[in-house]
Amino acid sequence: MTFDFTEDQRDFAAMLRSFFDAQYGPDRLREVVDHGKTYDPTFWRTMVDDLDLVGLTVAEAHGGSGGSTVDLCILLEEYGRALVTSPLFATAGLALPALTEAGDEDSRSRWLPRIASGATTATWAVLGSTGAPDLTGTGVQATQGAAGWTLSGSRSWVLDGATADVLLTVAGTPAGPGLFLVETATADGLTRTATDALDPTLALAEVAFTDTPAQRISGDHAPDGLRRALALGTIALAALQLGCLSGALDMAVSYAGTRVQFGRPIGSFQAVKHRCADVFIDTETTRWVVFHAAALASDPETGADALEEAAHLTSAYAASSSFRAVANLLQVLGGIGYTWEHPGHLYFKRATAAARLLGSSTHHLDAVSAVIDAAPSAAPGWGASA
Amino acid sequence: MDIKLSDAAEQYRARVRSLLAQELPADWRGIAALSPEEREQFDRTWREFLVEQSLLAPGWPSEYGGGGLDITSHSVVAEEFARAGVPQHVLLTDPVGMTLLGPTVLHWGTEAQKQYFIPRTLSAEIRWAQGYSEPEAGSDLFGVRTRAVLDGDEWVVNGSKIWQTAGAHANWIFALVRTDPEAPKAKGLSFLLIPYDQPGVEVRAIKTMDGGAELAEVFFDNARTSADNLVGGAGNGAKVALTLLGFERGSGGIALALATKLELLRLRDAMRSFGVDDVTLRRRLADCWTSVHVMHCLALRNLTVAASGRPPGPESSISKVMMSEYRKRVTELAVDILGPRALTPTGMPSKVNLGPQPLGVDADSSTAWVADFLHARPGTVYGGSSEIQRNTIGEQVLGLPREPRPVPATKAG
Repeated sequence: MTFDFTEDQRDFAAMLRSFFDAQYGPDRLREVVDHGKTYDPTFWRTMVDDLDLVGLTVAEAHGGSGGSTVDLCILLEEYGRALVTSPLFATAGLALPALTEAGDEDSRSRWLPRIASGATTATWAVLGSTGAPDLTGTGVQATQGAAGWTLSGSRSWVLDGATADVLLTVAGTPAGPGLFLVETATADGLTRTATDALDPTLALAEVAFTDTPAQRISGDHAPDGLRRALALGTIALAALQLGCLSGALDMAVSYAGTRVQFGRPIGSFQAVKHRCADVFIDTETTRWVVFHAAALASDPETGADALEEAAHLTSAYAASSSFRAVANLLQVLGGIGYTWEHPGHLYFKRATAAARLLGSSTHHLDAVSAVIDAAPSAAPGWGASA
Repeated sequence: MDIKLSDAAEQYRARVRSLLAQELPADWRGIAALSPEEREQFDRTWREFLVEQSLLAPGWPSEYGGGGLDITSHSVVAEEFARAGVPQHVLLTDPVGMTLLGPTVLHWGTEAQKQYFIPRTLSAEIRWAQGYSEPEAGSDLFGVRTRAVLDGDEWVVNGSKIWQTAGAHANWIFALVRTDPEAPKAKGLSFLLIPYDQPGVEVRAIKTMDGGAELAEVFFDNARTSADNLVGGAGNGAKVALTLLGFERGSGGIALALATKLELLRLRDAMRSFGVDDVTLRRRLADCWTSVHVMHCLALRNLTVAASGRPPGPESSISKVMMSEYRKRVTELAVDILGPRALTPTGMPSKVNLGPQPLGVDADSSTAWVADFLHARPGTVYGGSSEIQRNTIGEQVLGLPREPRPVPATKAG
């Protein structure tokens, strides 16, 4: 056991940190926040062409880098820390797992190379109308006609739903739920409405389908595959939340160390110092929980149940730890943290939004409850195998 | 990023399991299920068995009677013992001897000190108490006032120490004492071993809020100990004391996370037994389960750092805060699940004061849950309070400035 990053992974993280620091500084962030820009295609090309970030976890046979979920989480921590607005998370964090885990061979051969090359952006419309992830196809119905499948229904809170080239969603069919793909540029009967978002760095949309042509892409292993895909997406989201924690920590500590009141830096007062220490504790604990889940996800022997359990635990924890941290950040920042000018509120909003993007923390806690209910009673296990 | 133990460690786990299966009766339900008479008998033979198998101190070098195990195997032993509901430490004083004093003597002691104290600690001829805190030196540890003055070939000790766990069961104490009153605060301290069996030592029990008296206070009135019993050199006590706090880190974390998980299953069983099915309580239980997972991940991380031989990092402060704050949270949940049953505790008594109960405690014993609730309170105080841990993180990890300290009017002493 070596529960640690490799040298290569540390180098990758350091490279990403300096890349985002140099390429996605406060000015670019302000452009998005002040002018409601969705994303900058030039920056997208830089991420794709120079660093191959979107194809990081795509198999080499499909034109990607063949990286693991651990590598993806390293990327998303740094990406989240920089509060970048781009289709990277929806594409690599949500749509790719769905395609890879639940898509059939044809759809993978067709779409993975396009996604890896950055030519196609994608998203997975996950949430049902209650705000919980929908793997049963409630809310969108698929009908098979002479010309193929069509979808009817709607999805809310779709990340990058207004811009993605390819949109995935689970829809109900008479034979059970399946994974469907819509090519947004050419599909009739597709309405995509960008919505105002609490977090200005995350672009959300309402998507309505009216007899919209779609491809059914789920393979034979789709039911388990969709559970795995959602678990992977949830772990990826937690890595984004970890980035929020990491950014909040540095911001809080740096402010506490330089802001002077009563003739000394406020970080010398225990009341402030202890808040910073709490942000550190939340950041470090979340880091090892996220990468523990990522390590499980990177191990082919991990079953869907174990992966799902890890995802629920990780998400439940990351939601609470990241919110605690950003709340502490704003208190440490004092008045300046309440201003639009200061970026502190962006971490606050990101943590709030991320805790809802793939189900609320109560959704995840209730799933943990089910695990507890199913666990056998505590009894001496020296005769048992696990 | 590999979170699986090595094949060798898993093979070792299988050996420990078969050893336990041989040693324990077929109907074994955990140490806590034994009657007091059965327990007394079991403890005696179990401790002998552990000494024979070199498992009482699995991580000590074998030449001194330890198991010579690397930290990963040591962690496996602790985990399997928790799973089987058998104690790693049998006597109340064993945790102090095995995790604090032993490693300190092995690291800092002279060969003669090792030869004398280590076998006697294993045989329980010497049973240790910890002597750090004083009535006037709690969080301000290096403000200790107990004096030791060399008189010929003996140290003469005056002062007092407080909060010894199982202090009434000990017959020696390791104490942080001031040997040089002229030196700056932390520089004038030494780490001294003092026998209790002499006229100058008086031990008094402290009755605690749970009604028990496991803690003690000790008074030194011209107590004496050999000059040979100073460990790590005169004036080096602060350094010895600090390294002591870092010893054995890592080896018990996974076992503790497992014991904490088993405790939550017992709490779930209590909910079922009481017919309590409330969504808020269920979510609080799930939140506790999540925290246990966090502590398991942290324990794996700590084990990696410890196994690599790197010096202890901030992880020990994080683990301390997490676990002690968690114990308050889970035991508060337990008494909320008990509801009015907490008013009139009934059922099997608790078996341990620090940490989760071992296997065999009845899930519906309100007596045990209420005892845990009370025992959780000092956890965020002893061993460096949550506030001290946060100071450590803020200053030593995050580099925030220290709080200005008042300039003493006179030099210490």
